[in-house]
Amino acid sequence: MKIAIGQYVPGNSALHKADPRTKFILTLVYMVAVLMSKSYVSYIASAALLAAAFICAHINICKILRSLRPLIIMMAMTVVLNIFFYGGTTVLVSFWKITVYKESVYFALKMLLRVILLVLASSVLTYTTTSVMMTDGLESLMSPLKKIHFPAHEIAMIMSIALRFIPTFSEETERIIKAQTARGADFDSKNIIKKIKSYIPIIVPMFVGAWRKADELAMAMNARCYRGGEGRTKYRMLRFTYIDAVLSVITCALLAAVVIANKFV
Amino acid sequence: MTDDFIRFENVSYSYTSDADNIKYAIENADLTIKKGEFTAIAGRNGSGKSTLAKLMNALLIPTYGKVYVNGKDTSDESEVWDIRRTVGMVFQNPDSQIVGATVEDDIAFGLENIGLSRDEMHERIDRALLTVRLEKERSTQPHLLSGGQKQRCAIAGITAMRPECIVFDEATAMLDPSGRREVMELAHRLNKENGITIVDITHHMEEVCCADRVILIESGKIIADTAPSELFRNRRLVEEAGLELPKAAELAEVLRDKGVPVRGTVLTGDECFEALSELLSDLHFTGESFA
Repeated sequence: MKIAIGQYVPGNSALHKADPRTKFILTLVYMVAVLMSKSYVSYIASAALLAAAFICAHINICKILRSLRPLIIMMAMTVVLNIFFYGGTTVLVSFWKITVYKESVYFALKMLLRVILLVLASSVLTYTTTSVMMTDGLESLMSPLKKIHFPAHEIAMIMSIALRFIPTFSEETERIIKAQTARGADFDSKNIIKKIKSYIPIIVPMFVGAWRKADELAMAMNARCYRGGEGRTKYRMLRFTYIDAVLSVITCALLAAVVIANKFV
Repeated sequence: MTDDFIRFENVSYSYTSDADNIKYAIENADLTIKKGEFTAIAGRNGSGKSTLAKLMNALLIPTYGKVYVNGKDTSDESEVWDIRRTVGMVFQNPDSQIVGATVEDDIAFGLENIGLSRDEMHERIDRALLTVRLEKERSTQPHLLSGGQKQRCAIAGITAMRPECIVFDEATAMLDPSGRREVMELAHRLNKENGITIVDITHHMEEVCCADRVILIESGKIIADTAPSELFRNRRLVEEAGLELPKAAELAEVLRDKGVPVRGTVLTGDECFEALSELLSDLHFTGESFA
Protein backbone atom coordinates (compact mmCIF):
# COMPACT_ATOMS: atom_id res chain seq x y z
CA MET A 1 0.00 0.00 0.00
CA LYS A 2 1.39 3.38 -1.00
CA ILE A 3 1.01 6.19 1.44
CA ALA A 4 1.79 9.79 0.59
CA ILE A 5 3.31 10.62 3.98
CA GLY A 6 5.92 7.90 3.74
CA GLN A 7 7.53 9.55 0.73
CA TYR A 8 10.95 10.05 2.25
CA VAL A 9 13.75 9.18 -0.15
CA PRO A 10 16.94 8.38 1.78
CA GLY A 11 19.88 10.46 0.74
CA ASN A 12 22.82 12.50 1.85
CA SER A 13 22.37 15.77 -0.01
CA ALA A 14 22.47 19.27 1.41
CA LEU A 15 18.68 19.29 1.37
CA HIS A 16 18.58 16.07 3.40
CA LYS A 17 21.02 17.52 5.91
CA ALA A 18 19.30 20.87 6.29
CA ASP A 19 17.39 21.59 9.46
CA PRO A 20 13.69 20.67 9.10
CA ARG A 21 12.68 24.03 10.54
CA THR A 22 14.59 25.81 7.79
CA LYS A 23 12.97 23.62 5.18
CA PHE A 24 9.52 24.31 6.58
CA ILE A 25 9.93 28.05 6.56
CA LEU A 26 11.69 28.15 3.21
CA THR A 27 8.96 26.04 1.64
CA LEU A 28 6.47 28.63 2.87
CA VAL A 29 8.64 31.47 1.54
CA TYR A 30 8.90 29.71 -1.81
CA MET A 31 5.13 29.26 -1.94
CA VAL A 32 4.61 32.95 -1.23
CA ALA A 33 7.04 33.76 -4.05
CA VAL A 34 5.11 31.52 -6.46
CA LEU A 35 1.76 32.99 -5.44
CA MET A 36 3.07 36.52 -5.92
CA SER A 37 4.57 35.80 -9.33
CA LYS A 38 2.93 37.72 -12.19
CA SER A 39 5.36 37.60 -15.09
CA TYR A 40 6.70 34.58 -16.89
CA VAL A 41 10.20 35.58 -15.86
CA SER A 42 9.24 34.98 -12.23
CA TYR A 43 7.71 31.62 -13.03
CA ILE A 44 10.79 30.54 -14.93
CA ALA A 45 13.03 31.58 -12.04
CA SER A 46 10.85 29.67 -9.54
CA ALA A 47 10.76 26.57 -11.70
CA ALA A 48 14.51 26.70 -12.19
CA LEU A 49 15.11 26.86 -8.46
CA LEU A 50 12.78 23.92 -7.90
CA ALA A 51 14.55 21.90 -10.60
CA ALA A 52 17.86 22.70 -8.94
CA ALA A 53 16.45 21.45 -5.63
CA PHE A 54 15.34 18.15 -7.19
CA ILE A 55 18.72 17.66 -8.86
CA CYS A 56 20.53 18.48 -5.62
CA ALA A 57 18.42 15.95 -3.67
CA HIS A 58 18.90 13.24 -6.36
CA ILE A 59 15.20 12.59 -6.82
CA ASN A 60 14.38 11.00 -10.13
CA ILE A 61 11.79 12.34 -12.54
CA CYS A 62 9.38 9.39 -12.17
CA LYS A 63 8.96 10.09 -8.47
CA ILE A 64 8.34 13.75 -9.22
CA LEU A 65 5.66 12.98 -11.78
CA ARG A 66 4.06 10.41 -9.49
CA SER A 67 3.53 13.03 -6.80
CA LEU A 68 1.46 15.03 -9.28
CA ARG A 69 -0.77 12.14 -10.32
CA PRO A 70 -3.38 12.45 -7.54
CA LEU A 71 -3.90 16.07 -8.58
CA ILE A 72 -4.56 15.50 -12.28
CA ILE A 73 -8.31 16.08 -11.93
CA MET A 74 -7.79 19.24 -9.95
CA MET A 75 -5.28 20.54 -12.48
CA ALA A 76 -7.60 19.73 -15.38
CA MET A 77 -10.44 21.58 -13.65
CA THR A 78 -8.23 24.59 -13.07
CA VAL A 79 -7.34 24.74 -16.75
CA VAL A 80 -10.85 24.16 -18.09
CA LEU A 81 -12.59 26.60 -15.76
CA ASN A 82 -10.06 29.34 -16.38
CA ILE A 83 -10.11 28.91 -20.13
CA PHE A 84 -13.88 29.25 -20.34
CA PHE A 85 -14.68 31.69 -17.59
CA TYR A 86 -11.70 34.01 -17.17
CA GLY A 87 -12.65 36.18 -20.05
CA GLY A 88 -10.53 38.65 -22.03
CA THR A 89 -10.54 40.82 -25.11
CA THR A 90 -8.62 38.99 -27.86
CA VAL A 91 -10.77 36.19 -29.27
CA LEU A 92 -8.85 33.05 -30.04
CA VAL A 93 -11.62 30.70 -31.14
CA SER A 94 -15.34 31.07 -31.03
CA PHE A 95 -17.98 28.44 -31.68
CA TRP A 96 -21.63 28.15 -30.76
CA LYS A 97 -22.03 30.16 -27.55
CA ILE A 98 -18.53 29.63 -26.30
CA THR A 99 -15.68 32.04 -26.87
CA VAL A 100 -12.10 31.35 -25.85
CA TYR A 101 -9.92 34.37 -25.32
CA LYS A 102 -6.17 34.56 -25.64
CA GLU A 103 -5.85 36.07 -22.15
CA SER A 104 -7.82 33.25 -20.57
CA VAL A 105 -5.54 30.62 -22.11
CA TYR A 106 -2.48 32.44 -20.79
CA PHE A 107 -4.07 32.77 -17.39
CA ALA A 108 -5.06 29.10 -17.31
CA LEU A 109 -1.50 28.06 -18.11
CA LYS A 110 -0.16 30.30 -15.38
CA MET A 111 -2.56 28.80 -12.90
CA LEU A 112 -1.58 25.29 -13.93
CA LEU A 113 2.08 26.14 -13.52
CA ARG A 114 1.34 27.67 -10.14
CA VAL A 115 -0.42 24.53 -8.86
CA ILE A 116 2.38 22.31 -10.13
CA LEU A 117 5.08 24.44 -8.51
CA LEU A 118 3.24 24.54 -5.18
CA VAL A 119 2.73 20.79 -5.08
CA LEU A 120 6.29 20.01 -6.10
CA ALA A 121 7.70 22.49 -3.58
CA SER A 122 5.94 20.70 -0.75
CA SER A 123 7.09 17.36 -2.09
CA VAL A 124 10.73 18.52 -1.92
CA LEU A 125 10.10 18.87 1.80
CA THR A 126 8.54 15.44 2.23
CA TYR A 127 11.09 13.71 -0.02
CA THR A 128 14.06 14.98 1.96
CA THR A 129 12.72 14.98 5.52
CA THR A 130 11.94 11.91 7.64
CA SER A 131 8.73 11.92 9.63
CA VAL A 132 10.75 12.06 12.84
CA MET A 133 12.58 15.18 11.70
CA MET A 134 9.31 16.67 10.50
CA THR A 135 7.57 16.30 13.87
CA ASP A 136 10.68 17.42 15.76
CA GLY A 137 10.86 20.49 13.54
CA LEU A 138 7.17 21.26 14.02
CA GLU A 139 7.44 20.88 17.78
CA SER A 140 10.40 23.20 17.85
CA LEU A 141 8.66 25.77 15.65
CA MET A 142 5.53 25.65 17.77
CA SER A 143 7.32 25.73 21.10
CA PRO A 144 7.13 29.52 21.56
CA LEU A 145 3.35 29.04 21.60
CA LYS A 146 3.67 26.95 24.78
CA LYS A 147 3.68 30.26 26.66
CA ILE A 148 0.06 30.79 25.73
CA HIS A 149 -0.71 27.16 26.77
CA PHE A 150 -0.71 25.85 23.23
CA PRO A 151 -0.09 22.07 23.47
CA ALA A 152 2.94 22.00 21.13
CA HIS A 153 4.54 18.89 22.61
CA GLU A 154 1.25 16.98 22.66
CA ILE A 155 0.48 17.80 19.04
CA ALA A 156 3.96 16.73 17.93
CA MET A 157 3.64 13.50 19.95
CA ILE A 158 0.23 12.74 18.44
CA MET A 159 1.63 13.35 14.94
CA SER A 160 4.65 11.14 15.43
CA ILE A 161 2.55 8.32 16.88
CA ALA A 162 0.07 8.65 14.01
CA LEU A 163 2.94 8.43 11.50
CA ARG A 164 4.47 5.47 13.32
CA PHE A 165 1.16 3.56 13.19
CA ILE A 166 0.30 4.13 9.53
CA PRO A 167 2.12 0.99 8.31
CA THR A 168 0.74 -1.04 11.22
CA PHE A 169 -2.81 -0.03 10.35
CA SER A 170 -2.37 -0.60 6.65
CA GLU A 171 -1.21 -4.15 7.41
CA GLU A 172 -4.25 -4.59 9.61
CA THR A 173 -6.59 -3.25 6.92
CA GLU A 174 -5.25 -5.77 4.47
CA ARG A 175 -5.74 -8.54 7.02
CA ILE A 176 -9.33 -7.50 7.67
CA ILE A 177 -10.10 -7.25 3.95
CA LYS A 178 -8.83 -10.79 3.49
CA ALA A 179 -10.81 -12.03 6.49
CA GLN A 180 -14.02 -10.40 5.23
CA THR A 181 -13.42 -11.66 1.70
CA ALA A 182 -13.08 -15.16 3.11
CA ARG A 183 -16.50 -14.68 4.67
CA GLY A 184 -17.99 -13.74 1.32
CA ALA A 185 -17.76 -9.95 1.36
CA ASP A 186 -17.76 -8.41 -2.11
CA PHE A 187 -15.50 -5.42 -2.66
CA ASP A 188 -15.59 -5.37 -6.44
CA SER A 189 -19.19 -4.30 -6.92
CA LYS A 190 -19.75 -1.73 -9.66
CA ASN A 191 -22.70 -0.20 -7.80
CA ILE A 192 -21.31 2.76 -5.89
CA ILE A 193 -23.70 2.44 -2.93
CA LYS A 194 -22.97 -1.26 -2.63
CA LYS A 195 -19.30 -0.47 -2.79
CA ILE A 196 -19.51 2.04 0.04
CA LYS A 197 -21.63 -0.32 2.09
CA SER A 198 -19.15 -3.12 1.58
CA TYR A 199 -16.50 -1.07 3.37
CA ILE A 200 -18.46 -0.90 6.62
CA PRO A 201 -17.30 -4.39 7.68
CA ILE A 202 -13.74 -3.10 7.30
CA ILE A 203 -14.12 0.22 9.03
CA VAL A 204 -15.84 -1.14 12.14
CA PRO A 205 -13.14 -3.70 13.04
CA MET A 206 -10.48 -1.09 12.19
CA PHE A 207 -11.95 1.32 14.74
CA VAL A 208 -12.31 -1.35 17.40
CA GLY A 209 -8.71 -2.42 16.79
CA ALA A 210 -7.50 1.18 16.87
CA TRP A 211 -9.15 1.84 20.23
CA ARG A 212 -7.66 -1.28 21.71
CA LYS A 213 -4.22 -0.41 20.34
CA ALA A 214 -4.51 3.12 21.72
CA ASP A 215 -5.33 1.71 25.14
CA GLU A 216 -2.39 -0.70 25.07
CA LEU A 217 -0.02 1.94 23.78
CA ALA A 218 -1.06 4.37 26.51
CA MET A 219 -0.39 1.66 29.08
CA ALA A 220 3.03 0.90 27.57
CA MET A 221 3.94 4.60 27.44
CA ASN A 222 2.89 4.99 31.05
CA ALA A 223 4.99 2.01 32.05
CA ARG A 224 7.96 3.70 30.39
CA CYS A 225 7.56 6.79 32.56
CA TYR A 226 5.88 9.01 29.96
CA ARG A 227 4.24 11.96 31.71
CA GLY A 228 3.95 14.68 29.09
CA GLY A 229 6.47 17.18 27.81
CA GLU A 230 7.49 18.51 31.21
CA GLY A 231 11.08 17.62 32.16
CA ARG A 232 11.57 15.64 28.98
CA THR A 233 14.85 15.78 27.07
CA LYS A 234 15.28 15.26 23.33
CA TYR A 235 17.45 12.60 21.74
CA ARG A 236 17.60 14.20 18.32
CA MET A 237 19.09 17.63 18.21
CA LEU A 238 18.16 20.22 15.62
CA ARG A 239 20.96 22.56 14.69
CA PHE A 240 21.26 25.31 12.09
CA THR A 241 24.37 24.99 9.94
CA TYR A 242 25.88 26.88 7.03
CA ILE A 243 23.65 24.78 4.73
CA ASP A 244 20.60 26.41 6.25
CA ALA A 245 22.12 29.84 5.77
CA VAL A 246 22.88 29.17 2.09
CA LEU A 247 19.40 27.77 1.41
CA SER A 248 17.79 30.73 3.16
CA VAL A 249 19.76 33.24 1.12
CA ILE A 250 18.87 31.53 -2.16
CA THR A 251 15.15 31.28 -1.39
CA CYS A 252 14.90 34.81 -0.07
CA ALA A 253 16.72 36.02 -3.18
CA LEU A 254 14.00 34.37 -5.26
CA LEU A 255 11.28 36.12 -3.27
CA ALA A 256 13.07 39.45 -3.66
CA ALA A 257 13.50 38.86 -7.40
CA VAL A 258 9.78 38.11 -7.77
CA VAL A 259 8.84 41.28 -5.90
CA ILE A 260 11.17 43.37 -8.06
CA ALA A 261 9.97 41.69 -11.25
CA ASN A 262 6.37 42.53 -10.33
CA LYS A 263 7.31 46.20 -10.13
CA PHE A 264 9.37 46.54 -13.29
CA VAL A 265 8.53 43.83 -15.79
CA MET B 1 17.20 -4.28 54.61
CA THR B 2 16.04 -7.67 53.39
CA ASP B 3 16.45 -8.90 49.84
CA ASP B 4 12.68 -8.81 49.34
CA PHE B 5 12.26 -6.86 46.16
CA ILE B 6 8.55 -6.89 45.47
CA ARG B 7 6.17 -7.57 48.35
CA PHE B 8 2.40 -8.06 48.10
CA GLU B 9 0.56 -7.74 51.42
CA ASN B 10 -2.93 -9.20 51.33
CA VAL B 11 -3.65 -7.58 47.97
CA SER B 12 -7.07 -7.60 46.34
CA TYR B 13 -7.90 -5.84 43.12
CA SER B 14 -11.22 -5.25 41.42
CA TYR B 15 -11.75 -3.54 38.06
CA THR B 16 -15.20 -2.31 39.11
CA SER B 17 -15.87 -0.18 42.13
CA ASP B 18 -19.54 -1.12 42.16
CA ALA B 19 -19.97 -2.49 45.69
CA ASP B 20 -22.99 -4.68 44.90
CA ASN B 21 -21.47 -7.11 42.46
CA ILE B 22 -17.81 -6.69 43.16
CA LYS B 23 -15.59 -9.27 41.52
CA TYR B 24 -11.95 -9.51 42.36
CA ALA B 25 -9.39 -10.16 39.64
CA ILE B 26 -6.87 -10.76 42.42
CA GLU B 27 -7.95 -11.84 45.88
CA ASN B 28 -5.93 -11.75 49.11
CA ALA B 29 -2.58 -12.28 47.44
CA ASP B 30 0.51 -12.50 49.64
CA LEU B 31 3.72 -12.77 47.74
CA THR B 32 7.35 -11.77 47.83
CA ILE B 33 9.78 -11.75 44.97
CA LYS B 34 13.47 -11.68 45.83
CA LYS B 35 16.22 -9.78 44.09
CA GLY B 36 17.78 -11.72 41.21
CA GLU B 37 15.06 -14.35 41.08
CA PHE B 38 13.56 -15.69 37.86
CA THR B 39 9.90 -16.21 38.66
CA ALA B 40 7.27 -17.55 36.32
CA ILE B 41 3.62 -16.74 36.94
CA ALA B 42 1.33 -19.19 35.20
CA GLY B 43 -2.41 -19.41 34.84
CA ARG B 44 -5.10 -19.73 32.20
CA ASN B 45 -6.58 -16.74 30.34
CA GLY B 46 -8.56 -14.56 32.72
CA SER B 47 -6.99 -16.08 35.82
CA GLY B 48 -5.69 -12.67 36.91
CA LYS B 49 -2.02 -13.11 36.06
CA SER B 50 -1.82 -9.94 33.96
CA THR B 51 -3.52 -7.99 36.73
CA LEU B 52 -0.89 -9.30 39.12
CA ALA B 53 1.82 -8.06 36.76
CA LYS B 54 0.32 -4.57 36.42
CA LEU B 55 0.13 -4.27 40.21
CA MET B 56 3.91 -4.65 40.31
CA ASN B 57 4.74 -1.31 38.70
CA ALA B 58 1.86 0.85 39.84
CA LEU B 59 -0.04 0.62 36.55
CA LEU B 60 -2.78 -0.66 38.85
CA ILE B 61 -3.13 0.25 42.52
CA PRO B 62 -4.56 -2.42 44.86
CA THR B 63 -8.19 -1.96 45.94
CA TYR B 64 -7.21 -3.47 49.29
CA GLY B 65 -3.80 -4.26 50.68
CA LYS B 66 -0.39 -2.88 49.71
CA VAL B 67 2.30 -3.59 47.15
CA TYR B 68 5.86 -2.56 47.98
CA VAL B 69 8.67 -2.31 45.45
CA ASN B 70 12.07 -1.92 47.09
CA GLY B 71 10.19 -0.85 50.21
CA LYS B 72 8.24 1.84 48.35
CA ASP B 73 4.47 1.78 48.48
CA THR B 74 2.96 1.74 44.95
CA SER B 75 -0.07 3.73 46.12
CA ASP B 76 2.19 6.65 47.06
CA GLU B 77 1.91 8.98 44.07
CA SER B 78 5.27 10.63 44.62
CA GLU B 79 7.02 7.28 44.18
CA VAL B 80 5.19 6.10 41.06
CA TRP B 81 7.81 7.21 38.50
CA ASP B 82 10.65 5.86 40.55
CA ILE B 83 8.87 2.52 40.82
CA ARG B 84 8.19 2.36 37.08
CA ARG B 85 11.83 3.11 36.45
CA THR B 86 12.82 0.23 38.72
CA VAL B 87 10.29 -2.26 37.35
CA GLY B 88 10.12 -2.28 33.55
CA MET B 89 7.43 -4.08 31.64
CA VAL B 90 7.27 -5.86 28.29
CA PHE B 91 3.74 -6.33 26.96
CA GLN B 92 2.10 -8.94 24.82
CA ASN B 93 1.45 -7.13 21.55
CA PRO B 94 4.72 -6.08 19.92
CA ASP B 95 2.89 -3.63 17.65
CA SER B 96 1.27 -1.57 20.33
CA GLN B 97 4.22 -0.90 22.60
CA ILE B 98 6.76 0.57 20.19
CA VAL B 99 6.44 4.34 20.10
CA GLY B 100 9.47 5.45 18.09
CA ALA B 101 9.72 5.69 14.32
CA THR B 102 12.93 3.63 14.36
CA VAL B 103 14.47 1.12 16.79
CA GLU B 104 16.91 3.76 18.02
CA ASP B 105 14.17 6.37 18.53
CA ASP B 106 12.07 3.87 20.41
CA ILE B 107 14.85 3.10 22.86
CA ALA B 108 15.35 6.84 23.24
CA PHE B 109 11.67 7.34 24.12
CA GLY B 110 11.98 6.01 27.68
CA LEU B 111 15.29 7.81 28.18
CA GLU B 112 13.78 11.11 27.06
CA ASN B 113 10.98 10.56 29.56
CA ILE B 114 13.39 10.27 32.46
CA GLY B 115 15.22 13.38 31.29
CA LEU B 116 18.69 12.05 30.52
CA SER B 117 21.35 14.09 28.75
CA ARG B 118 22.06 13.41 25.09
CA ASP B 119 25.50 11.90 25.73
CA GLU B 120 24.10 9.55 28.35
CA MET B 121 21.33 8.52 25.92
CA HIS B 122 23.83 7.73 23.17
CA GLU B 123 25.86 5.55 25.46
CA ARG B 124 22.85 3.70 26.85
CA ILE B 125 21.31 3.15 23.42
CA ASP B 126 24.57 1.67 22.11
CA ARG B 127 24.76 -0.63 25.12
CA ALA B 128 21.11 -1.69 24.89
CA LEU B 129 21.37 -2.47 21.17
CA LEU B 130 24.39 -4.63 21.89
CA THR B 131 22.59 -6.47 24.69
CA VAL B 132 19.60 -7.39 22.55
CA ARG B 133 21.75 -7.87 19.41
CA LEU B 134 19.91 -5.39 17.21
CA GLU B 135 22.98 -3.28 16.28
CA LYS B 136 22.28 -3.73 12.57
CA GLU B 137 18.61 -2.76 12.94
CA ARG B 138 19.46 0.50 14.66
CA SER B 139 17.64 2.75 12.19
CA THR B 140 15.07 0.22 10.95
CA GLN B 141 11.40 1.11 11.13
CA PRO B 142 9.54 -1.09 13.61
CA HIS B 143 7.04 -2.51 11.12
CA LEU B 144 9.90 -4.06 9.14
CA LEU B 145 11.10 -6.13 12.11
CA SER B 146 10.09 -9.71 12.86
CA GLY B 147 7.96 -10.42 15.92
CA GLY B 148 10.93 -11.57 17.98
CA GLN B 149 12.95 -8.53 16.89
CA LYS B 150 10.08 -6.21 17.85
CA GLN B 151 9.95 -7.71 21.34
CA ARG B 152 13.74 -7.46 21.61
CA CYS B 153 13.45 -3.80 20.60
CA ALA B 154 10.87 -3.31 23.38
CA ILE B 155 13.22 -5.06 25.82
CA ALA B 156 16.09 -2.83 24.70
CA GLY B 157 13.93 0.22 25.43
CA ILE B 158 13.47 -1.07 28.94
CA THR B 159 17.01 -2.27 29.69
CA ALA B 160 18.30 1.15 28.60
CA MET B 161 16.39 2.61 31.54
CA ARG B 162 18.50 0.33 33.79
CA PRO B 163 15.67 -1.31 35.75
CA GLU B 164 16.25 -3.76 38.56
CA CYS B 165 13.36 -5.92 37.45
CA ILE B 166 11.60 -6.65 34.15
CA VAL B 167 8.08 -8.07 34.04
CA PHE B 168 7.26 -9.97 30.87
CA ASP B 169 3.48 -9.79 30.55
CA GLU B 170 2.87 -12.69 28.14
CA ALA B 171 5.58 -11.19 25.99
CA THR B 172 5.95 -14.39 23.97
CA ALA B 173 2.26 -15.15 23.45
CA MET B 174 2.08 -13.63 19.96
CA LEU B 175 5.43 -14.95 18.74
CA ASP B 176 6.34 -18.00 16.70
CA PRO B 177 8.57 -20.63 18.36
CA SER B 178 11.82 -19.08 17.11
CA GLY B 179 10.72 -15.64 18.29
CA ARG B 180 9.82 -17.09 21.67
CA ARG B 181 13.22 -18.74 21.96
CA GLU B 182 14.97 -15.44 21.14
CA VAL B 183 13.03 -13.59 23.80
CA MET B 184 13.40 -16.26 26.51
CA GLU B 185 17.14 -16.60 25.88
CA LEU B 186 17.45 -12.86 26.28
CA ALA B 187 15.40 -12.89 29.50
CA HIS B 188 17.65 -15.57 30.99
CA ARG B 189 20.78 -13.76 29.88
CA LEU B 190 19.60 -10.52 31.50
CA ASN B 191 18.87 -12.48 34.66
CA LYS B 192 22.24 -14.24 34.81
CA GLU B 193 24.62 -11.63 33.43
CA ASN B 194 23.01 -8.38 34.57
CA GLY B 195 21.38 -9.68 37.74
CA ILE B 196 17.99 -8.32 36.68
CA THR B 197 15.04 -9.82 38.54
CA ILE B 198 12.65 -11.38 36.01
CA VAL B 199 8.95 -12.04 36.36
CA ASP B 200 7.61 -14.01 33.40
CA ILE B 201 3.83 -14.15 33.04
CA THR B 202 2.99 -17.01 30.72
CA HIS B 203 0.91 -20.03 29.97
CA HIS B 204 3.68 -21.80 28.13
CA MET B 205 4.84 -24.53 30.46
CA GLU B 206 8.13 -24.91 28.58
CA GLU B 207 8.99 -21.40 29.78
CA VAL B 208 8.00 -22.28 33.31
CA CYS B 209 10.49 -25.20 33.33
CA CYS B 210 13.47 -22.86 33.12
CA ALA B 211 12.37 -20.56 35.95
CA ASP B 212 13.71 -20.68 39.52
CA ARG B 213 10.23 -20.55 40.90
CA VAL B 214 6.67 -20.79 39.66
CA ILE B 215 3.51 -19.18 40.98
CA LEU B 216 0.27 -20.74 39.80
CA ILE B 217 -2.85 -18.58 39.71
CA GLU B 218 -6.45 -19.62 39.30
CA SER B 219 -9.49 -17.28 39.61
CA GLY B 220 -7.40 -14.56 41.21
CA LYS B 221 -5.94 -16.79 43.90
CA ILE B 222 -2.41 -18.09 44.25
CA ILE B 223 -2.80 -21.86 44.36
CA ALA B 224 0.85 -22.87 44.22
CA ASP B 225 4.20 -21.18 44.83
CA THR B 226 7.04 -23.61 44.42
CA ALA B 227 9.89 -24.85 42.21
CA PRO B 228 8.84 -25.98 38.71
CA SER B 229 10.01 -29.55 39.35
CA GLU B 230 7.78 -29.71 42.44
CA LEU B 231 4.79 -28.26 40.65
CA PHE B 232 5.02 -30.77 37.83
CA ARG B 233 4.78 -33.62 40.29
CA ASN B 234 1.27 -32.44 40.98
CA ARG B 235 -0.42 -33.03 37.66
CA ARG B 236 -3.93 -32.67 39.10
CA LEU B 237 -3.24 -29.16 40.38
CA VAL B 238 -1.77 -28.01 37.08
CA GLU B 239 -4.74 -29.36 35.17
CA GLU B 240 -7.13 -27.76 37.63
CA ALA B 241 -5.54 -24.43 36.77
CA GLY B 242 -6.38 -25.06 33.12
CA LEU B 243 -2.80 -25.72 32.05
CA GLU B 244 -0.84 -28.66 30.75
CA LEU B 245 2.41 -30.21 31.92
CA PRO B 246 5.32 -29.97 29.49
CA LYS B 247 5.30 -33.07 27.29
CA ALA B 248 8.37 -34.65 28.93
CA ALA B 249 7.06 -34.11 32.45
CA GLU B 250 3.65 -35.41 31.47
CA LEU B 251 5.17 -38.60 30.07
CA ALA B 252 7.10 -39.13 33.30
CA GLU B 253 3.98 -38.58 35.37
CA VAL B 254 1.86 -40.95 33.29
CA LEU B 255 4.55 -43.65 33.65
CA ARG B 256 4.74 -43.08 37.39
CA ASP B 257 0.96 -43.35 37.67
CA LYS B 258 1.19 -46.75 35.94
CA GLY B 259 3.78 -47.85 38.47
CA VAL B 260 6.91 -47.40 36.37
CA PRO B 261 9.66 -46.16 38.73
CA VAL B 262 10.91 -43.09 36.81
CA ARG B 263 13.56 -41.44 38.96
CA GLY B 264 14.70 -37.85 39.35
CA THR B 265 13.09 -34.69 38.06
CA VAL B 266 11.91 -34.76 34.49
CA LEU B 267 11.18 -31.35 32.94
CA THR B 268 12.96 -31.28 29.61
CA GLY B 269 13.35 -33.71 26.74
CA ASP B 270 16.97 -34.38 27.72
CA GLU B 271 16.05 -35.23 31.30
CA CYS B 272 13.31 -37.49 30.03
CA PHE B 273 15.74 -39.30 27.76
CA GLU B 274 18.17 -39.74 30.65
CA ALA B 275 15.54 -41.09 33.03
CA LEU B 276 14.19 -43.50 30.43
CA SER B 277 17.58 -44.83 29.35
CA GLU B 278 18.46 -45.35 33.02
CA LEU B 279 15.23 -47.23 33.43
CA LEU B 280 15.93 -49.38 30.39
CA SER B 281 19.43 -50.30 31.53
CA ASP B 282 17.97 -51.25 34.94
CA LEU B 283 15.44 -53.45 33.17
CA HIS B 284 18.14 -55.06 31.12
CA PHE B 285 20.15 -55.73 34.30
CA THR B 286 17.37 -57.30 36.35
CA GLY B 287 15.50 -58.96 33.50
CA GLU B 288 12.20 -57.79 35.01
CA SER B 289 9.27 -56.70 32.92
CA PHE B 290 6.26 -54.50 33.49
CA ALA B 291 3.36 -56.42 32.11
